[in-house]
Amino acid sequence: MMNLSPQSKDALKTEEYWINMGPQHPSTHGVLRLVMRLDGETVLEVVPHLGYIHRSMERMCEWDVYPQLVHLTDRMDYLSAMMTNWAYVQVVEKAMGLVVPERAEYIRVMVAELNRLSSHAMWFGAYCMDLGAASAFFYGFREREIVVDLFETLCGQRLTYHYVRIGGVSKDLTEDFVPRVLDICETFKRAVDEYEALVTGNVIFQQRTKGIGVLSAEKAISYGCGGPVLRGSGVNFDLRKNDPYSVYGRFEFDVPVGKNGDCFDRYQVRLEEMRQSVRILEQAVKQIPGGPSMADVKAIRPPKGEYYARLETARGDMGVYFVSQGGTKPYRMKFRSACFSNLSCLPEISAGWKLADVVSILGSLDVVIPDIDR
Amino acid sequence: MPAPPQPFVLSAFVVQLLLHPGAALSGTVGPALKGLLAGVGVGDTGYNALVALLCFVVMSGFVTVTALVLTLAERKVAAYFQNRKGPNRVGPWGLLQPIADVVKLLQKEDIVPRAADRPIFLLAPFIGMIATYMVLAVIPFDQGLSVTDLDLGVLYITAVSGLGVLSILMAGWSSANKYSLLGGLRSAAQIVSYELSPALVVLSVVLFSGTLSVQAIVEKQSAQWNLWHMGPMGVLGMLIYLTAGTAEINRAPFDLPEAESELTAGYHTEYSGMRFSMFQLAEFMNMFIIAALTVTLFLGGWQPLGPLRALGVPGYLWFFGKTTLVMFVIMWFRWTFPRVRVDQLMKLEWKILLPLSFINLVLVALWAAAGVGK
Amino acid sequence: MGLFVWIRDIAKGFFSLLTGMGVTIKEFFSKDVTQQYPDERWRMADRFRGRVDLPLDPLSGAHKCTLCMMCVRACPNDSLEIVQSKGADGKTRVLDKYIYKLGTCTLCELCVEACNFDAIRMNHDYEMATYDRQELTLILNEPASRPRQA
Repeated sequence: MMNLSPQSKDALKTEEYWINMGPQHPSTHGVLRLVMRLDGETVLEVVPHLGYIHRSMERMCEWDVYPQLVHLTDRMDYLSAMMTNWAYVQVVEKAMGLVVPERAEYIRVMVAELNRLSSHAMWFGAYCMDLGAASAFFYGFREREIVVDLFETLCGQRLTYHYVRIGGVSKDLTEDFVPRVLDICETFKRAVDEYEALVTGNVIFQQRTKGIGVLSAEKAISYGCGGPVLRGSGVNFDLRKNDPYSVYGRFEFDVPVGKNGDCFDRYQVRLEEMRQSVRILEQAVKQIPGGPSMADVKAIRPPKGEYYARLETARGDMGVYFVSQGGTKPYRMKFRSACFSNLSCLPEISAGWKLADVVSILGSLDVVIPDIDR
Repeated sequence: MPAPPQPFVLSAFVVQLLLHPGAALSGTVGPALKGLLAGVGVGDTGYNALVALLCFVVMSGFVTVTALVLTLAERKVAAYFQNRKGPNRVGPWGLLQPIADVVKLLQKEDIVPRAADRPIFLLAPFIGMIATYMVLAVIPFDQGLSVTDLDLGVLYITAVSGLGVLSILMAGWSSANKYSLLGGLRSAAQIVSYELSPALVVLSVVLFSGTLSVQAIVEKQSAQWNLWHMGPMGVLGMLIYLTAGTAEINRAPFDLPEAESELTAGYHTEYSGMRFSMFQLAEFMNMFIIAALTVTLFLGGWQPLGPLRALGVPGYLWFFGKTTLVMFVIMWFRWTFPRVRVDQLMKLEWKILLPLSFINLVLVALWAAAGVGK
Repeated sequence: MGLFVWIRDIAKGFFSLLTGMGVTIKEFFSKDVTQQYPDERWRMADRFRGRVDLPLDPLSGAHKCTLCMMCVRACPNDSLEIVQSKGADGKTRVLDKYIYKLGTCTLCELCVEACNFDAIRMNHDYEMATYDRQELTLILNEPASRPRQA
């Protein structure tokens, strides 16, 4: 009889091996390269390699004047472009003490929440497709298409909006905007119910996401995660409530918080966030005042100093920091990207799981690689 | 004195061929061919050999046409599940799309990796096709219309359907590629495990029907199909068979060996052109076989639904109609559910399906002993 | 008892799968959202930002560009270049070439917003792919409806 225990001389020799996933890969949501050390099917170590889409945006920001930099932020976290625009614009306005007209604030809130809806709808589709349920991808995109069509009518583009500008928004709302927003609210209420019916109770989906990739609350805070990743781990922190900016203080909405910090909780937090965004939209549509949509601002010349402001994008806590020397161009611009901090917890939470789980965990973190690489 | 030969009327023969092909072939064509060969001087052995050759040619034609139609059907069904149209440019409703696919695959370069184990690499697709043909040989399409009617048909099917594993293992091993090897290993484990529950379920049907011959099992369902004749065990048995069958043919939600979102294309990564299409053909024909076997064992094969017998619809139309319905259900599974992870796959078989099939067997034995099947 | 828990879990799992299948079969019979491009083309929204266009003024039959260069200064990545020449009387400046590098343009519309004379606008063109990079540098000031390649 052969003794197959590891100590004996007849033992089966196994060795660990390195495997490379990406940068071209259907599941890495962009050009992310993951180098993994595996033992059989179990992942022991994950090393993300970044930089495949580094375009030196922060350096580009030192060449142009402030209003010309807004369109660069579109291309960072392109799935929540309105919010990324707003993050940059917010810090410049804070530096200059600029007062934005109230109508513009309401418009910004509305487009930001619409963008959150479309981003989460797409995330849902991409996540389900990573897990194998290909039809859900099309359902998510079908809903996203409705929001993107509305944006096309509003600002002219479907992905790189360049709409939220320093001092307000670039164009006022069209006539059909408000009725279409109300239609979108109805559609998304039904859509989120459909997604829940299709996927949430599904035993296969639950086995692929429950208990997988657990991120504890302390670790989430220490890694600097934000957004649904942080809230899925049980930390009740949402910048719209804890550090309210713009007119968010006037709306009534809940912040969904998970319990265990696994993939399933992050998934549920995002679905619930979609419902809360619909609530905010319905209230904003009722409260929006008339007036100008852009402040009367001449030269954008923030006074000398360092400024920082942050905003809750669909992915997390996006911060923009810049140093001004009193001129029309920034001296140094730094973007604290939400996805970079969210991705940094991947090596820790995916160690010990199987290869298929790494795909699930990465999908639940909802990373957009251009935001990491800038 | 032997009966005078019946006059051969072409129209009557065509009608009989359309309504009762089995009787037409064995009653008219068979003796005519025998007589022809006897006139030339070829005896029984020659006749058998010629019949075997003709059957092979007809089955090859059938396999090719069915597999081509299935590729188009899969794409159209997937599209309709996903709110889109599927191929509709090449010919009306995309009917010529399979021809375009075949032409495309035929003109591709046949790449064999230099490090690959050449004889095994070249042989692997054909072994898969051989297994498929062998199972198709005993499936009855109508009364008396099967390539052969073995007394041990069911045992033969269980034995031969395991040959597919060989082909996958050969493909995975000889490809000299880490991902192919992983895919091949996963698939081998999966198929071998999922041989067990279908075998037990089939055994329960055999126990109930009292015969191992496939044709006889179908004939015994002339009054009631096994699905309800076997009581609730019929439903349970069919569900187990369908689930395990889907896992045996590597289709979603059990398509880990081909999980594109994880490890490229699994065991057939390195195959191109016609060799790749042989794998695809084998996969679609396996789907047809699982559906055909489900129909044969539980849904009455070519038997019409009791009350509708009077309509006079020929048996093979019933057979193909039911098989199409079951294939639609198998496709429905694929486009709805996420993928199951490897260890969860094994758990499903060993801890859920196998015990359930044992319970099913015992219950059917009690049901049959109580005299229900007589 | 363990057996009942096992059976109950299997039943729960099975019915959860049926719910999912119910959703997909409903979608199977609902209308598709396909647009048969290129037979059916979308009519873009009014504000759609296609690419920069230098239209002719229907009243005067000439371009409205006054060579103020505000668009060139507003462009964040130097995608516009204006080449002037002397007019027929040797004194006035005339637009010789309005060079637009579609290859580097980010379609941000800052140039259109900067123009005070309504001379440029964004058109609704979205089929701008070419096989040759030279074709991406366009000269916009031609009376013909399609700008000539550089």
